[in-house]
Amino acid sequence: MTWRAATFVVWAVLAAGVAATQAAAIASAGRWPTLAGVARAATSHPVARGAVLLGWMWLGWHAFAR
Amino acid sequence: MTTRRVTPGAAAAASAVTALSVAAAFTRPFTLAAGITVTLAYAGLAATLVAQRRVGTMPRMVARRPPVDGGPRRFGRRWLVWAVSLGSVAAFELASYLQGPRAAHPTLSAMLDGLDATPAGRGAAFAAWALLGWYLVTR
Repeated sequence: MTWRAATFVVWAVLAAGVAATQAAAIASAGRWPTLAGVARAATSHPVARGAVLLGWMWLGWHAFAR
Repeated sequence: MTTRRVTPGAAAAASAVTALSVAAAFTRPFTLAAGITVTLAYAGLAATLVAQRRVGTMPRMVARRPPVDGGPRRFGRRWLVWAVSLGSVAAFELASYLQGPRAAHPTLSAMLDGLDATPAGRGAAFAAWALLGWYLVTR
């Protein structure tokens, strides 16, 4: 197996982990936070919200304009 | 059963996101057109924030619903699973970035380059990014 293929396998495992965490959070009916809950908590403070928005701006420039 | 109602402001914003995504689909990186489409998305987000201040409410995508997970609470063990999950993604992204060459250790943005190599993929990725920004300011 090449390094490239191995890296893709790890990315797939990580994506499955995030999806499984989200599915488990939804199934727990509020006992565990969903990804949206994480986003809400992470942006509940104005400074943190500004930092997340700056990250969003950087992401757009990096992905589409650079 | 609750009905999810699309607000007029949200409909206008959705139209703008669609039009901008179609335009972005046909741009190439490192061009003036690509920079303009991203800058217009920034302007749209700023306009949404101004509208919120003037009207007192955001043009939401859908009417507000109570969160299914009960909303934010104090940080504790219930957040640990997300810290591990998202922390693993961040750690592997950093490891891939620091290792070379990029072709052997693709990062998230390197994989995105493959996705947005076609106009359809680029337009879809741009729409997802714009909707994420909208969600962040209107949630």
